[in-house]
Amino acid sequence: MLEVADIDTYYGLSHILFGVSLRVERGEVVCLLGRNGAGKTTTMRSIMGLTPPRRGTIRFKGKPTAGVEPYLLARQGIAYVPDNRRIFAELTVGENLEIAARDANQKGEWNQARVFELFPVLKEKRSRKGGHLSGGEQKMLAIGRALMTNPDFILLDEPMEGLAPLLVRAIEDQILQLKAAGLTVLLAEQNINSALRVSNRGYVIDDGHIRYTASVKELWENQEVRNKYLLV
Amino acid sequence: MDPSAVASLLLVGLARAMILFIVAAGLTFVLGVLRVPNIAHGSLYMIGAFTAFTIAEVLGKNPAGFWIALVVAPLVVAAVGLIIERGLLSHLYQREHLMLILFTFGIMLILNDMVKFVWGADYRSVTPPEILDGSFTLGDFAIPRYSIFLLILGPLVALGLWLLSNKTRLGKISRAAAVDREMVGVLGINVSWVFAAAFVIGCLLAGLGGALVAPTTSISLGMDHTIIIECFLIVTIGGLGNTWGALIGALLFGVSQSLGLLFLPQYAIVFPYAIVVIVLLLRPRGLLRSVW
Repeated sequence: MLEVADIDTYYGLSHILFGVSLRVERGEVVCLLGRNGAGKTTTMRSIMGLTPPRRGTIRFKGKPTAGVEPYLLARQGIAYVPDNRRIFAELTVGENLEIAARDANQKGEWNQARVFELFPVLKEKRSRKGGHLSGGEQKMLAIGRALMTNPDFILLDEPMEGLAPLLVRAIEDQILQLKAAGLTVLLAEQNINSALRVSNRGYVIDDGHIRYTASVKELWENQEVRNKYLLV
Repeated sequence: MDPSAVASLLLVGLARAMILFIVAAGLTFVLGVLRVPNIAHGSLYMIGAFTAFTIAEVLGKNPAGFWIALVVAPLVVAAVGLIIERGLLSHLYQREHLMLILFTFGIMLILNDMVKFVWGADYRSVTPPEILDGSFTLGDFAIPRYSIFLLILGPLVALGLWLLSNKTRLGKISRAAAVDREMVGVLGINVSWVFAAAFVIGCLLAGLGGALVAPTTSISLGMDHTIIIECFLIVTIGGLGNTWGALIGALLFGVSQSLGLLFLPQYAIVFPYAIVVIVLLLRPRGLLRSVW
């Protein structure tokens, strides 16, 4: 589904990613673990074409994405849920979902009704302004909005950050539901336990380098890697 | 003071406020969605007025001439706007505001010279159609029919804009793009075309304002300067990007001008500006919420 090969990404003059490579196969949930500032968000933005890498290649469904604008990547099936949510605060919950739906008659897999099924709390607040939702509700809305584009592959950037434990459990559950529905997920997280509960495999990123990659089982067991790259 | 004179002066002020609103609404829409302060907006309004003049003249005595001009002139201006946006402006959105201001200032100079080239420096005028000419009289209270027409049209335009931004997909996307254009792109929406559409809508309103003002004034080079200054003040006191703010600002502007004419005719021109100063002292970000 996704193949990132040896990319270097910069913000202006600052060099953020150094030769990052990763693969995500169809139907997998893969996590990208790392501390704040490790390069998780930059990796996501590179894949979405928002901060294109200067070197290296990214292939989505076998096709290189270099020079393809983000809106076209979205139409090819990538969706992005940013860590700071970026809900359209002035639009209602319903409108936030509505503008993301490409075909007005919603022939695709995902429509408002199905998003409300996954996140019932959004249904109650559908005519509320996005800016008036709580942090957790905004996270759900951001995921719901991404689903409305009917993606095959979804980039989830720290969906559990700053949420109460109960909500973290709810999001874990929803990610598993997405997986069951056939979606492929790349999940950036600092919350190792949650991330490992929902993932098939993981990468550990630190200082813009991929330091380690392994199955969930190994990541659970490898205390050394955890201590070195993940614990604050 | 003669009450009927007061009433008709107020009415004329309100009618003028409707034209100011229509033009300012276009400016504020572009300002809100594209974040571009379009200094050439006044020139587009002037092109609307001259185009309306030409259409009315070509159609001569045809009573439908004015109505056709009212529809076609805004479309001509919208076409000019589309060329400017697709050809030039769309390549500059990443630039800082200062660059955009300089760019639209340059466009203003070019458009003004083109107007001079096409229509010359003479004063022109358009006669309103018979149905809108003259006045109603109620006792000794005279109401210009054209003012009534403007007072009906203004709220209709406001309603149309409200429906556009709240009930159509384009409007909702525009509101989202005004705040976070990158995120709108991530949802698979081609923001570039949304901007083009928003710019064209702004130009359409400038053109409509120009066509509407044509029968009320002499059409001349330089009419763009007054309106662009007034419109920038109106959108500033109303709240940048806020359509209702543009309406309130235009009403304050038009009515204070009338009241000035009434009480201190020799200082009338100062009144609207005094209102602007007072509003900005009390509410520096404008009366209604700015999208900036």
